[in-house]
Amino acid sequence: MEAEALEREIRAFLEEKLGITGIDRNAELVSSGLVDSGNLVRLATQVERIAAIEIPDRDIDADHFDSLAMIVDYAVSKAR
Amino acid sequence: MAPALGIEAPAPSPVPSDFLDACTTLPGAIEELVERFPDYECLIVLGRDGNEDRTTLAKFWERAKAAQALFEDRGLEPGDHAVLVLPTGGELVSAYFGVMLAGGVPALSAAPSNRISDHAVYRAFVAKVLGNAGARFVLGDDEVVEILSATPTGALGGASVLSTRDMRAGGAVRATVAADPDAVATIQYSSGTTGDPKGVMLSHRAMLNYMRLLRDGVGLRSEDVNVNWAPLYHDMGLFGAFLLPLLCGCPTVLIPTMDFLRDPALWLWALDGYGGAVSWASNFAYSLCAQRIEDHEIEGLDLSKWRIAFNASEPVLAPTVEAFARRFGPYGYRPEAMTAAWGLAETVMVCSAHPVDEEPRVDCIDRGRLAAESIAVPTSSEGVSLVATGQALPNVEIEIREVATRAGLPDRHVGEIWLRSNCLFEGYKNDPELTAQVCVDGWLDSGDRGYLVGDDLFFVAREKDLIVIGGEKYAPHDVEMAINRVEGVREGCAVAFGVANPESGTEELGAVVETRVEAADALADLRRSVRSEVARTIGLGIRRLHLVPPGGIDKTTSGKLARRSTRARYPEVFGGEYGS
Repeated sequence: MEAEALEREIRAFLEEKLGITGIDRNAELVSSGLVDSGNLVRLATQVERIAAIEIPDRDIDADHFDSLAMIVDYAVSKAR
Repeated sequence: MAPALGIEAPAPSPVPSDFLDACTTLPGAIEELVERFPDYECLIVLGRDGNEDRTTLAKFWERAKAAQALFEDRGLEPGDHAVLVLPTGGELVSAYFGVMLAGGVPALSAAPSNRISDHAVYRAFVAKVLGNAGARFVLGDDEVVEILSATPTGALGGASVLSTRDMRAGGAVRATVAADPDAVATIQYSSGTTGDPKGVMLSHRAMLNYMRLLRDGVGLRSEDVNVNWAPLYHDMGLFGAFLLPLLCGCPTVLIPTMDFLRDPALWLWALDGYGGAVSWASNFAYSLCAQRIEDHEIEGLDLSKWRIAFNASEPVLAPTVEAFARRFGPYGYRPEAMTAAWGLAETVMVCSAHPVDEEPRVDCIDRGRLAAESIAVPTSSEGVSLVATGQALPNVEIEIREVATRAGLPDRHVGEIWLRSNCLFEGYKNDPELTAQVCVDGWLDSGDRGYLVGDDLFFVAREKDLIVIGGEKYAPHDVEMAINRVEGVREGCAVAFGVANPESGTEELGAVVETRVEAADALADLRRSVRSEVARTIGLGIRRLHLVPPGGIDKTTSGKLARRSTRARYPEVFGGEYGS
């Protein structure tokens, strides 16, 4: 999946399922408290489905999922 | 999902339901089980990918022996402590008994949290646990070994870091020395990955007494298949998910905790596929399932065999209980399966439970009189709805006492919950002072507040300001320390507390922070920095952060932070203590 389409789908998930709207693609999600621990796992699982990749448990952290931009970069790198 | 997984229910257990009656130590119990029922398939570990690891008692024993060999090979002597940091699964349960078979004392601690990005924070925590336990060994999986291996020499107090990869079947082991029933069998560090670790020491006798009283109290039978995902460093996980079913001869199904969090429907499908009758979870998990699982994920699901859905380790919320029943009633879930319970690690685990097969009892009480007079007066409208956490289990006595005088209180008067039983802990490891504070004349001060109506116990609040989010405990002091490190915060002028969120079924983190800055830009930066520091070091996001000018936080006359009264000053931000 193209990075742009991926970003669009993740943003839609953030808006529809987590109620996080209007965020900048570099806005901090985890470290700002916007995405709590339960929703972080949920977000990662959704990214796994959207991007058709496997995400190991240990990668589900703020180092990889703290912003929309980071998530897209991570998913694209895993999809290669 | 499960229908496609093709999982099969385990064969009926050959273990008599009264098996535990004559057992006096944990290694003795497992050894006898292995001798009498070697081919009994006692344990199934189910992963998110549908892979199963089905283990007979003979195989379980072989794995435990492999762990024993590893510890002995590395120099564990009888009486030594070994800390186990592993996810819920086969390796942890084998290692747990392996340490005991070597004559050691296993201590369980939390695995690294995926929410805390700073590994140095986790290493410091493990170092504290090792120091408190005086442990010579820590056993982990690849991730833990990698994190701990980066620890500066000496920071782990000379403890050796062992890997589960080194557990090999067939290693030579010493003859097992019979354990003393009154010796410490296990130390539990169930307070998450932050703060000063509190090691709850439990003897073989207390643990076995406990398992018998719970078995009898809820009518657990060896044909009851138990399906769980709770982390085993947690008292509910260690006992509810693992030791109780295993040693009572119930087929025991474990799902790695992370696999449940990533795919909550897996838990329900496992209950369906294995014919699960008993499961333990905290309130947030029921809320998570009710809200998150979509229809297409549970087409054809059948929960009709689910007899006991224990709900414990954090406040049981009436809206969650109702939402779960509403959501899964059409799938065969029976509302009377929900069994609210209350307890604490110091009494092994839960020590009151609602009668099995009776629907949860909800008490709607007057909010104003609860806050002003600490009396639970029934009301018919707009009150606080509390779910009964049931009656004291056999051999447990519960009393409600007035805080200041410790005098007993009558029904419907809110006070401290005290209890006495034959399964109390031996004390906190290396902390006699704290032990003496909570153990008085054979009674335990639970640190919780509640009231009785007849025999029914209702939990109202925690006395000790503990924050519990998703069943995990956090000390407010640790959050406040993190906030105080941020430049611009008035040193020592931050308070943190849990704010109940009925929607998520658990608490969320709230904080009031005095600041030295006033400009809007600077306040926005400070807000970001505070949240970031707490997320980095505690692994929590502050959902409700209120920045206030100097004087915005209450302190007691002795200068201590007054968390409750501070929170009460800002009801528009945090709601009232008993909801808004």
